[in-house]
Amino acid sequence: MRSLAFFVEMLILLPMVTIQPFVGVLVWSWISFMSPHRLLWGPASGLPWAMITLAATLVGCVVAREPKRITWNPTTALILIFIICITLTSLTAMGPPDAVYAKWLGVVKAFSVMLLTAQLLTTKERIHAMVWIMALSLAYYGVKGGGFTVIFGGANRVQGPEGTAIGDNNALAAALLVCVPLMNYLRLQSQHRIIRIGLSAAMVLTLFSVVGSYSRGALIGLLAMSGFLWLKSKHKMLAAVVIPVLVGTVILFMPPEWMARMQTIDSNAPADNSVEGRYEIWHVAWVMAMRRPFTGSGFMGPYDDDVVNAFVPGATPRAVHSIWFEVLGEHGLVTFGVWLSISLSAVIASRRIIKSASGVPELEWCVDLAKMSQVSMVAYAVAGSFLSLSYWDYYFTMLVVVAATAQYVRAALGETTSVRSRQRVMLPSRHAVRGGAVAAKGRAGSTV
Amino acid sequence: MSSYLIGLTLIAVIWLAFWSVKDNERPSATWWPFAMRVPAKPSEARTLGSRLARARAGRGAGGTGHRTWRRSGS
Repeated sequence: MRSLAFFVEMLILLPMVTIQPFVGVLVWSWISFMSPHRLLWGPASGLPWAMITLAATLVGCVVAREPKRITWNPTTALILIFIICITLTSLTAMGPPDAVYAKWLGVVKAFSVMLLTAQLLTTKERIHAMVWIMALSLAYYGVKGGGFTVIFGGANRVQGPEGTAIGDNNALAAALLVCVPLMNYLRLQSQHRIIRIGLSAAMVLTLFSVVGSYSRGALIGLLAMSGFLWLKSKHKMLAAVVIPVLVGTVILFMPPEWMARMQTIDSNAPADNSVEGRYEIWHVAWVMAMRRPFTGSGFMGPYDDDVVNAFVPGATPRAVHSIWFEVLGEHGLVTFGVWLSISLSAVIASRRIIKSASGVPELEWCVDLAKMSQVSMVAYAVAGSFLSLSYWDYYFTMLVVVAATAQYVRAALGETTSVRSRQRVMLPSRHAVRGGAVAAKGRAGSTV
Repeated sequence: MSSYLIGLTLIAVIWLAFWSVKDNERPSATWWPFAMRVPAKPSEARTLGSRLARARAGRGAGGTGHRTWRRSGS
């Protein structure tokens, strides 16, 4: 039945994609982020839906009246440089060529589609729709995992979909932490009350799902995200009550086994095998970056016995479990710098959005999106410090959305200026424009 | 629960796809769950900033936009 429903869905969407390529970007993102075909049984689960969608999207891009050139901004330029860098490091990779090629292909494909996404994020509805598809894709796992945790009293671990980047319980929890601020943005900006209530409920269940994953890294990420969410909230007094009460309730709901596991975060507690193994592979990744600063070990180096032993004899190959050390070890210092700069460019773009669009009612959604994306970035940086999610397309798509929003804001403010100059009316200072909009902020804004 | 959630997600994705490509400038009779909050119009009478803005805009429309300083009585 699920398989049939999915088939019907794709039969409706694919013809649309060839006419409206932006729908193709939405569907590709949905399939990449959520992997809905992995939740099906029967013939639909085995088909390469993402590739079919991408092919239809490319046809649509040629046929439809859409921008044919890549939108250049610091984020997209750095993504292109990153693609070039990882291609060069893959040519000198030390790991098994087949595994390196498979990983390289997957990452390059995902990052190339981000350039296409940036090209088509031209209106506020498209930007908003992209955020919706990102939230929907992970809210499914958040709501399902949260319900599972509540029903079983947190006795069992919440796991992600098998065979995906978020299949591991730690990865799923970090992914959900990145998703929660985006859901909050949608809650702030949704027109209908019923949708806002639904999003609030989904956020609470997602928090249960994060805690129900038994991930220690995610708990640290949750605390960091909560603190930053408070910092970015409009009503700090209310948020200072709501956020701790909510997080505290979710934590107190968990059984003693959960508490026992979380207490091992304490630096004085004896380190278990998982923690010691991480310290060891982080050391290996660091040595890889120092010895080969321009190329690293290449994709899959830290996973290969021979490669790891070439750098640190006797060390055990395994997943690096840190976004920072993973990129450092696999690609060296130079590519690490480019990878880090993608995030920094989005941080700068979001700060610019907040600075220039604050107080302009028509652009208030951009400010909310910029603030919530900053919270997501903090969640990724903190929770990702204990995970191998360095090339996670969801996060980098969010950065592309922030960059597109920054361009939207620049264009909107530029338009305002030119219209006013045509009317031969002296443009009041930015502060005055903002001042006129201040009254609207109270009504347009929402809590937390 | 999974089947209901998958069903809901499938419906939401197709609904979102239609919403993202429709002409959002025109009013629609259909209920769109993804519709964005309409920005509230600034109530200009309420704020000091808006009064300053109007005053500056008015001066700008009249000419130079700069008020010449004069000594009182001169």
